Amino acid sequence: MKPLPKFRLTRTAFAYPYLVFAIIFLVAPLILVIFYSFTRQIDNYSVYKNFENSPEIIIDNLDFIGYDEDSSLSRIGTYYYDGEKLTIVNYRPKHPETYRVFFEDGKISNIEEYDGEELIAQDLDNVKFLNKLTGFYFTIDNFVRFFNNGDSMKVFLRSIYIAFMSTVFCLLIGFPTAYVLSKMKERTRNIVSVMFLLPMWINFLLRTYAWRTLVEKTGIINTILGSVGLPAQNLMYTQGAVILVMVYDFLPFMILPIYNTLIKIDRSLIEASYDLGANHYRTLFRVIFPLAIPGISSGITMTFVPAITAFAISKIMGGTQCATIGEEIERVFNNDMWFGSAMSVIIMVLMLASMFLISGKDSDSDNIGGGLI
Amino acid sequence: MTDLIYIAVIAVPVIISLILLFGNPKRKSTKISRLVYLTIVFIFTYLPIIVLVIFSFNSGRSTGVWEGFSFKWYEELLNDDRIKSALLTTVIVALSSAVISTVFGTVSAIGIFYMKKIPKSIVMNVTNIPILNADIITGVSLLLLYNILGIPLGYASLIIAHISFNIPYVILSVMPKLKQMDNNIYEAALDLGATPTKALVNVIVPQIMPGIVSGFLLSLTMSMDDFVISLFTSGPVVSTLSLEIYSMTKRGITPEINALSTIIFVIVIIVLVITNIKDPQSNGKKQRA
Repeated sequence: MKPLPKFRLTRTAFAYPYLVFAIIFLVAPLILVIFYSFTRQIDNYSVYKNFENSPEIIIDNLDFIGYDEDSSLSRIGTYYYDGEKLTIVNYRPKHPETYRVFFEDGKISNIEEYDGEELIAQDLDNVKFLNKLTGFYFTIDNFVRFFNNGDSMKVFLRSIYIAFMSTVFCLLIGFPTAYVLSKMKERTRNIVSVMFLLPMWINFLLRTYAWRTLVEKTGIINTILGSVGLPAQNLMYTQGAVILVMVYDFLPFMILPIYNTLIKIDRSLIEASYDLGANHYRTLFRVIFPLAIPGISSGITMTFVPAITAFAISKIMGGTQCATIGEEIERVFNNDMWFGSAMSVIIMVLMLASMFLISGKDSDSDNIGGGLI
Repeated sequence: MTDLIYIAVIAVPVIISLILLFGNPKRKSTKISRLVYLTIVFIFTYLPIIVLVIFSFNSGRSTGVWEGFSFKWYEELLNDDRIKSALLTTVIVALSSAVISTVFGTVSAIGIFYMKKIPKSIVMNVTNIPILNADIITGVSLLLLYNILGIPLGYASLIIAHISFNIPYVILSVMPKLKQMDNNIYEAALDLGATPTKALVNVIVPQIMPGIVSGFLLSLTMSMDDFVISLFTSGPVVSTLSLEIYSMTKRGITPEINALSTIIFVIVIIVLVITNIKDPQSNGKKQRA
């Protein structure tokens, strides 16, 4: 027994490299996101240069953020012209297609939007080309911008709605499936539950795309409807299509945790319920359902959280009209990390809140994610 | 309006079957409705996959309009360098990240297991972060980290990202096995003269082996299937299969990719059948993977 205390120390030391790794790659990134969400970049301008008279200048490489009708922040930044940087320090929208841009030397120019791809600036003389020095300042502008803007709020609420509906349908379809599975003979149910998991081995983008061929205007469902004599349905690019595919993709995440809790329920409790005179429905609602709550709540978490941020599905099935918050983050992030981070933080808060609401009662830390693993 | 149609289409049969299938299991209507219900869910689950497999044999370019049977796309697949290199990248990234995170994760799990209660619960909560967090936030936050640290996006950043979301799965599958382990055997080994290292390798590791294997399989699956985190951390040059498929959904998908997934699907089925016949005990773990 003598070497044991000494070795206990060394055994704990096995975890030290992981602690370092976890701090750098698990904790630090989250802190960074929060940090970015509360800051914005400062542009300092140092080098000035005259630019030749030109009736029309095309400013390329300008990415649109889209929420900036009222904010003077988003179009401020550095753009490129002929490999040189052109910095717009301020602008005020004049009318939807034209922006009045204030440059640092007091020059004013109208900038017009073409196809959302490039800007054409007119009457730009003596524009200063500037080198940018970067810094940051703390602000809550990112959040204010998010909540003040109708478009981004619409996207946000739509994502919540889509995720909520998907979760509800997953639960409605998943619980009976798990229940039926759990009532089967052990050998059969092992095989059948593996069969439910098999599709997960096919890349989810492909599964989503396969739904497209089913649901499309000229797709298989409409062909069948047409052959029966029914009118073709416009199913593609609707919220319904997005919800359908989300239900499809996340159903296993709902079935599995519920199934795992259902098969562990002590049979004698159910038999006791029958013996005491309860019928099958009563037993279901008063005995089985309450006992399955941990599985149900972990199933809801595992469906709702990915559903709220899923962005490929809404892009493939919903087109541009059903953009979800995940899609917005991806789109915004390359141009404006600060705003993108703020959106991520909002989602994180929403996720934490929903997890807290769902699993507030059984906060057994060993059980988090334990339903699946 | 379309929403209402969807709701009706899905809700009505669900409600009817709910009433029937939760009834007395000895009644015939219950048995039949259970079978019907399961069949419907199965059709729902396999419908897109059947479509996918069928159109891999399409002779035309479309993944939706049938033009005749051919193996054309399987031949094209053999000659497509983009898909082949994407497949190779996926395999390299998945294997290396799974191996590294299995070794690293197992060692760490042993260390965490012997920690005191409070530090242990803190570490386990941190470990849960990537599992509970949305993929897109993990991806975005890692991208910010790489920006700050100046790590260029490429193979290294991609593999590090995959390791960081795989390790928690390994730790969480090894941990229960450590809890189930009989510590007396380990102490007996020490009493019988084994060095702590020898006892660790010969006593602890074999006992937690099922956990290690399932952790490895889980991380392999996770990293093969990952799309969102790879999108943010792979950079412009490196492309995995998921990313390749995603860029194809913009350009238009050819049945080539259907052919590839059919092959992968068949391989998975064969592997599952073989492992299930050989070792029914490990079935439970396979399910979770």
